[in-house]
Amino acid sequence: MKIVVTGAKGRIGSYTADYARQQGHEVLGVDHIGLGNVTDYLSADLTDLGQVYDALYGADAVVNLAAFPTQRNVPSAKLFTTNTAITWNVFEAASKLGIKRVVFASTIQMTRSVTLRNEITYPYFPIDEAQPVDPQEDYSMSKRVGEVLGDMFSKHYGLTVVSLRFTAVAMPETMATYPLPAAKPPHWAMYAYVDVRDAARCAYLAATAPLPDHSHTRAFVVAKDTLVNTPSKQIVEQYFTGAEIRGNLNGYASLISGETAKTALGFEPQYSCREDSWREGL
Amino acid sequence: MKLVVTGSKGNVGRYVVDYATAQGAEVRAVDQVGRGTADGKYLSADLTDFGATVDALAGADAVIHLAAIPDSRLFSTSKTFGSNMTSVWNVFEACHILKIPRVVFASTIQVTRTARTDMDTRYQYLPVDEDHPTDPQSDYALSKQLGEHVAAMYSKHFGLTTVCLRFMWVTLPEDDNDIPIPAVQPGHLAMYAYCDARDTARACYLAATKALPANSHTVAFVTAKDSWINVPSADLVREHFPEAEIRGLQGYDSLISGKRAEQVLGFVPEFSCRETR
Repeated sequence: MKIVVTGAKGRIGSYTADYARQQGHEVLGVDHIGLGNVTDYLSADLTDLGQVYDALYGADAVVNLAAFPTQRNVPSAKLFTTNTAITWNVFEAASKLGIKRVVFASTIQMTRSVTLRNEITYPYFPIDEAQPVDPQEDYSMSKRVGEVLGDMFSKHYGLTVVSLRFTAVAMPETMATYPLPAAKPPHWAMYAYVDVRDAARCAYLAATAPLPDHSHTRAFVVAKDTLVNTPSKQIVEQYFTGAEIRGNLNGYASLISGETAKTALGFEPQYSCREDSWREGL
Repeated sequence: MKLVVTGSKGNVGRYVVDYATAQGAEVRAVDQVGRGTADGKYLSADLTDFGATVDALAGADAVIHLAAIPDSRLFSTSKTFGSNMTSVWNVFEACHILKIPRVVFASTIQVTRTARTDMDTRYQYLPVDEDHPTDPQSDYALSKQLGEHVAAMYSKHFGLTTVCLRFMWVTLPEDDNDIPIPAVQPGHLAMYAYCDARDTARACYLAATKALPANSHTVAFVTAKDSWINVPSADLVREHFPEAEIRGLQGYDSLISGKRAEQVLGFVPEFSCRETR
């Protein structure tokens, strides 16, 4: 099949394009850096709907990763309007072009921003996709908007949408600096991370896994463990008192649930910032 | 059938929308005047924006692309040329990616004779037909000539069936044009050819709906049967275009041939500026 990967020069995008090619698919990478190369990279401004139509034409699935990847990259108005315009354009073009599958890059920050303004009360841990989201800045809100667009385009315009809530995406060299020594407020994105190679494989699975027509799947993309060396139960009991502990929080088990990605997409993370021995008991 | 008519507020477009609607087509009119209507019958769109073009054309079975700056000297030359070329490209490319099989493109007599008194074109033979070499001499005429080339490429390589209609001076029923005129004018404006807007509109509809070979590219003049000058056509040619071979001109026959539109599209004009020919 032909897969268009937007944001192909970004961290997840470059790994996703490579991985999908390794799996035997035709991949067109799209980004706004430099010039296209005639064969498998196109330079395009995706805030321009016309360029989006051109970029997506002929695809069977789109993995839309193009966006400003976190707050304060640029002034908030530019970030919000750019991210939401790209998201609209990609969904709109996919629906008009008859492309059935769109994977949208969402974020853990809807659940816990890295620039938290107000503390959030979580009813239970590990946090799953059923819990309310609480975006608190431009970036998270742009992703919130993207998920709502995913609802509409899957429900009313024939798309099958997967919104992947990426946690902190760690490059292989960053992984070596984890885990951090101890938890402390503001509990940066709940210490959730995922190796970029796992994130890319999950994006690929989201583009290719069999899913019900017109469905919209939201799934956290997260490693099995946290990136901090405070036991997970202790974090909850010390800082999030009153939250129910559901499921397995043994050892350094992630405070964010990866169950939906596993059950809906068949995704299981392979990389951890720890030696394998910590997994015993998970 | 779902038909998109661009330039729907123009002289030809208004009549095409009315005629096609009367024939039972589901018409979406597109122009850049005012706002669209919520019923989807009119959409305001800038067709120099590719995204807006795809949006405007999505769902159509055929597109009649009339939207253009309709002559030279209405705007700066770069705007006339650039805007016309951009919308042409956008419409054909949008039809390609949306898999809309039929595109009708409004070309002009001016590829054969640019309507300026300071420019002349000589002819090998008259009446001029579509096989005769063209001679565009302005931003407008060139944008239309190149539009025909774009259409040819999309037919040959991208699976579209295209019809380029070379319109004459389009006369409106509501205008009092005071034609035919008695004597020749400097520059022989567009070879004294015209066509009533109602006939022109019917030709557009036929071009959009007539069974045509897949991937075919048709270029056809859309002209009344007669000229708008009261000088017998053969006499006019002998006096003013003596180098041209005369190929069957009777009475006030048009100096532009309408044979191809008749043969390929079944189009025969019904209106004339004369009571009887």
